[in-house]
Amino acid sequence: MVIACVERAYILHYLSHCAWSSSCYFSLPVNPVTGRSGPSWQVPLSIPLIATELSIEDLLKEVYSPDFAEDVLKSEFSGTSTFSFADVELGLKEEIEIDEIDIDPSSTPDDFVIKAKLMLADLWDKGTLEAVTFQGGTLTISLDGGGSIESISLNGGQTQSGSSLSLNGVTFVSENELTIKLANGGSNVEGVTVRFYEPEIASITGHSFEFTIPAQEFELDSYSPEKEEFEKLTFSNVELSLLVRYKGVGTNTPTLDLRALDVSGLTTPDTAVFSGEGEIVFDSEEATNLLNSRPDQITVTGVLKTGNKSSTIHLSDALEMEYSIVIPLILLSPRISWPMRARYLPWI
Amino acid sequence: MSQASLDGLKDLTTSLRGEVELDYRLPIGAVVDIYLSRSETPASDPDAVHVRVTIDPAPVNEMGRTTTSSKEQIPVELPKETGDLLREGAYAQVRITIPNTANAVVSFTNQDYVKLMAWAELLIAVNK
Repeated sequence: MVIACVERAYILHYLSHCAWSSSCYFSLPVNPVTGRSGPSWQVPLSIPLIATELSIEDLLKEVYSPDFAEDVLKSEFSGTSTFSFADVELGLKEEIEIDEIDIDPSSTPDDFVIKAKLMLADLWDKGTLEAVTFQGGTLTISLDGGGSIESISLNGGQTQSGSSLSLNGVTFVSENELTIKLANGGSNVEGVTVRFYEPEIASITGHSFEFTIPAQEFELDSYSPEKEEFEKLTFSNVELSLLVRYKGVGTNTPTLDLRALDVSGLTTPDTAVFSGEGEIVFDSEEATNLLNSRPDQITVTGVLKTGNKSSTIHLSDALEMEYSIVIPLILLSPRISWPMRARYLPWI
Repeated sequence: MSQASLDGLKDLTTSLRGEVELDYRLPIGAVVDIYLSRSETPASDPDAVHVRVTIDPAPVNEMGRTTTSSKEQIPVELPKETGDLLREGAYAQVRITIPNTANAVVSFTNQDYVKLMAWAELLIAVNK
């Protein structure tokens, strides 16, 4: 306003001089503000610094700077799934044939006793079994070559009459001895066949186990309430992790090697080995591609291995898996060079 | 505008102000950082001229979706260094950050966008 008043006063001064003087001349008077001839003024100059338009799609797909991740709103969703080792198909053999039998030296035709060794290694080939404790089921023995069984006992324990042995509370160790008393002699016995009926395992001890885990499926409905509206969007910088917790009743819990897990085709990192609880963080680029394929669920399958140190797994022990997906909402625009083009400044 | 035309403006006054013009349609507020620098990566240049503007969320319906955009013209103070940058070639970069401070449930849709223009306004003395 001050500038405008100065200009107006100067113009009025010039006009009044022209109107009232005896001779109107066109040489400009001295500008009282500048001390030079001619008017002076100031003009506002607006210079564009930046002009950009960003869609929500840009917001999700543009370059992400992790330096600012802490304070940034993130789209997060997660879910939990748990399975117990009772749900795992252990694959113990149900029938073992033992060809090598020993006749007890004290045997007589009327009191004929044979001994057979039952090795745990013959029972399971998915690791090194050191002990198996049963809480149910039945073991039965049949003789190859004929004969009738009067009683059996395991590892010098309580003798049970007949050809069956209750497995409730029975523990097998690496090498076990079955003592079988025959009712009518045993000269024709060539071997024994051991069968497990509906065995219920309470715990297993050993190392280097391999379990094929039951498929865990995490529904992803919650992440896409606006799925139709987002279907054209492309996510970026997705963080996907799987937190795994071993929930066991004992103290001698195993080291978990989860490197052979398959989480919806993602590459499981080599760091997926831990005890108790651990987090598997997947490659962001792979996770981003997975999310952009708009899966309905994340599936965890594959093989769980235990370490080479002896441990005990109770079948009531459980493995809890919690997935977490994070999509940061941050945008760094492309660089814009400056000065900008003249069309923004028509008055220059 | 050519570089030469700016070089000719020797009498830029110290009167310098900025204005950010926003057409904003996001269901949640944001922080806009504008960086001006001679560095080719202004956002990571610690000496860059930095202007920060905080934006309120656009109006939303009961489902947390935006119903319309909000338009604002926000005056900002520009540091004196801006004047030096205006005489020479420089780079500008904008970063939009959505802070993690929202408690309400909102829904982003593909209707959402941000339009942003920033201006520096200064006074040029003519014949002074």
